[in-house]
Amino acid sequence: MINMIYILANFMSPVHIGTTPKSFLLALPLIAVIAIVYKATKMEKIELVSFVRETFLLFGSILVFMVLAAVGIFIFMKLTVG
Amino acid sequence: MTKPPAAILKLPHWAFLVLTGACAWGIPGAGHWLIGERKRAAIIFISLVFAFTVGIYIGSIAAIELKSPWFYAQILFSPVVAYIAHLSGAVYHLDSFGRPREIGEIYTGIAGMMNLLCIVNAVYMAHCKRKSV
Repeated sequence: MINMIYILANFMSPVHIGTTPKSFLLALPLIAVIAIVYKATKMEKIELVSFVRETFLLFGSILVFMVLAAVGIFIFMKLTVG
Repeated sequence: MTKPPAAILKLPHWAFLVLTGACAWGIPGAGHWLIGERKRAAIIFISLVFAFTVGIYIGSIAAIELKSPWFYAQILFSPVVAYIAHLSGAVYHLDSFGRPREIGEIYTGIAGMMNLLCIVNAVYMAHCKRKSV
């Protein structure tokens, strides 16, 4: 019972997250969830190997395009703002 | 694939679709479970509950606030979100700010929007299955 109260208490106050480059890693679980749920709704049949492969492909492509967008914005900002 | 339990229910087509949508909104994945898509239901439930739980762990339940525009996305996760908003606002008077709140809102909001996709998908699959029977 006491353990349960401690677990629930974790949801009453926010955790500390600094504005560091490492905080971008928090996007990874969310991208994984988006890829898994999207593929779970779109695939005709759910089979382990094909599902994992398709999910990894989507996860990778989202990640690559996010990195490309970040690099593009960084270059744009360097050229315009300096 | 297991036989859909909904086949036992002798509901009109529209009522079955409404029931599927309501179940999918009430518990993420329950709509797919109802139409016999057990694997899909388990994947959706585990993934979305994980995203939502991480969101309220990072931003605390104060990340769910009735007045915030994010609430419209968060409520799509489940009606339970309205109760959590009531707890954080009216009962415990909690608040959170800055980066943790933003991340909490993003996680819970996206969990809600992904559940909307699942609700629509469950209703569509229910419609197609009934038509093919």
